[in-house]
Amino acid sequence: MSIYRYSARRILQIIPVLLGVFSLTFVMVHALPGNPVRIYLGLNPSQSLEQELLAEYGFNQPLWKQYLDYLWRLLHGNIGESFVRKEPVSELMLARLGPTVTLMGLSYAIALPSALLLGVYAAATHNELGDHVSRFFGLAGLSTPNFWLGLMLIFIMAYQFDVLPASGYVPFTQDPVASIKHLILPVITLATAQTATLMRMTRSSMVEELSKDYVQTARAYGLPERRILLKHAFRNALLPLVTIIGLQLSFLLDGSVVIEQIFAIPGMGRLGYNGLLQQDYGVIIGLNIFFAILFLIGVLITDLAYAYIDPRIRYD
Amino acid sequence: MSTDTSTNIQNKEFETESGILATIKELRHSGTAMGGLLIVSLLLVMAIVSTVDIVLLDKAIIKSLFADPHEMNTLQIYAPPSMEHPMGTDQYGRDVLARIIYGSRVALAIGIIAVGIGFFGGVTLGAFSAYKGGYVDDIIMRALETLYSIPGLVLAMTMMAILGPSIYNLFFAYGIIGIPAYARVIRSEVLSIREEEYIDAAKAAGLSNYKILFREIIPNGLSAVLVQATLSMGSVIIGAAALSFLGFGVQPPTASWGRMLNTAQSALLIAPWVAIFPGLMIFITVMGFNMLGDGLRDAMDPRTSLRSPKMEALEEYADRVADPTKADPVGSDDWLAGTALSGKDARNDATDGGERQ
Repeated sequence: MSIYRYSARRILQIIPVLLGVFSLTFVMVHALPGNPVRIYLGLNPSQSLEQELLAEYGFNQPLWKQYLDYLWRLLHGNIGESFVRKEPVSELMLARLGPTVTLMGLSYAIALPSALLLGVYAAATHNELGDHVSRFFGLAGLSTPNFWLGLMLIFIMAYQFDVLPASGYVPFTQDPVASIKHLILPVITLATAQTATLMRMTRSSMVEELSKDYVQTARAYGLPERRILLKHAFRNALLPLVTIIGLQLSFLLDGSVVIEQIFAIPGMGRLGYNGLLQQDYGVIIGLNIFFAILFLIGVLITDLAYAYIDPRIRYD
Repeated sequence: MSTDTSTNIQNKEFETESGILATIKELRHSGTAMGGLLIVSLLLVMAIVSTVDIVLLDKAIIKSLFADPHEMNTLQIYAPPSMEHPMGTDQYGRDVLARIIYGSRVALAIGIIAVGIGFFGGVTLGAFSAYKGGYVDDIIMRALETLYSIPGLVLAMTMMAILGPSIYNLFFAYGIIGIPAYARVIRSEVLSIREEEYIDAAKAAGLSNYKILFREIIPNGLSAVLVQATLSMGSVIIGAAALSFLGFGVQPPTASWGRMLNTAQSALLIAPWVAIFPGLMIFITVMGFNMLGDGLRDAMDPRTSLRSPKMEALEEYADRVADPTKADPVGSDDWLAGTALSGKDARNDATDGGERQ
């Protein structure tokens, strides 16, 4: 199979999964106890107003009809409307995309290089002190709950030393210095677990590469160790790493939900959290689909990149 | 352990290295894994004692040692750590240490039960799917991918909102969310094991498909999933704590670490101890499971040996003393093949020489 056919097949495989995500979230949302109109109107709603709203948003129609209607709108690119905020979900998400993407992008931009550096260092000092220390910190980083780390960072940096703001978000265009100051703590919180995971992967991948025959040969030829590490082993060790970069996206999204909550960042995770509390059907379905698309695209790119980088991969 | 080593030495040449048992035996050479095992065992004891305490003894043990974890005391709100309350008190004047001890029940129960559900569900579905192949495989894998492509925490939050916040629903939610990961691992294991010769032999012997699947294939693929389970125990505990932290998980007055952090967040400035200790406990617990899982994985991997060269030399020396007929360890005997000694003979001999002086 050529790489084109392989790509086409992989893209086609996404369609049933997306349909599944939509169906699952649709069913889950409608299984939520109570109805959104009640929650929206408060304790003692007037009967007529409730009926009117139910009819306006089609909540009184049979479920199968609501499902098909929603699907029809989705196919036309309309991801839904927020019942509580009276706005299209796409606009709500677009307004909150910035903070979330900044947070996720920055933490990844910090996590990836430091993880690669630490992982190569650990593998180069395999079974020596440096390796043990970085392995310990790798495990510790993986074992630290991010919400606790966030709270502790706020406590130390904001309350004890008063050097950084405890929470909030300032767009970069508005005030670059304040923006960066507000971002430092959340980015560190989100990046810690990422760095730990990636570093452990890099290390084990490097250790495996370094035990191979060609490395022995290179050593026998008298190549400098630095060159063997970076030019030869590292390039090959990168291959398995590519596969998890897409999967990491899922963890980043999870992390952003919690971290936006702690640091009061007006991003998509917070939108979803509030949407869930208010039973905002459109927001919940829209966000789930958006997250799923993001994740699936990440995995797809990873797979294709992997097939492209490694000529040994068979496309099947 | 020392009692069965003597029989082991004699039986070694007949012993086939069965995956899981050999792995667990190998574990004792890993300091990390033993450290993890120690932490996990201590927590397990703590959780079991507090469960017995609350169910049978009406909190008698914890009251005599520290304080009643559920008793409120309005005079002692946010009391800092002292002799009476080593970890301080919370917003209702409850003893934080007592609540932390009781919280171990919740954390471990979620870890073990949720991972158990995911494990069995995943192994059954994944193995069935891989073994059937064709469109059955396609349908099951697409369905699991659906579950997998929604970020875990978001899915768990939605499920908890539907089911209502309670600890039993937390087990269920995290159990379901875990299924795809296990299914993936066991599926790839089954796909590779299916091509092994002994499966052909079993077919030729006339075993039914399901007997082959459950007796031959799954047990052989299980060790890989076991590592996955130990390592994911930590992330499940963190995830469940995060849910409780966000208010979707365990409800008061049940003591849970995540829930304690939820209330601690608003009092961070005046009572940091309420936030520090529960988080520290989550960290220690997860660290324990991760250390254990890490050790398990190393033990499973035939390329890495957990024994230090010195340790190997010592054991080999002990073997030789115990059984003089095995005088020459290099090359001649099969029983060395399984003990991860291959390729290290030269180094062992060097250390061994040193030991005998």
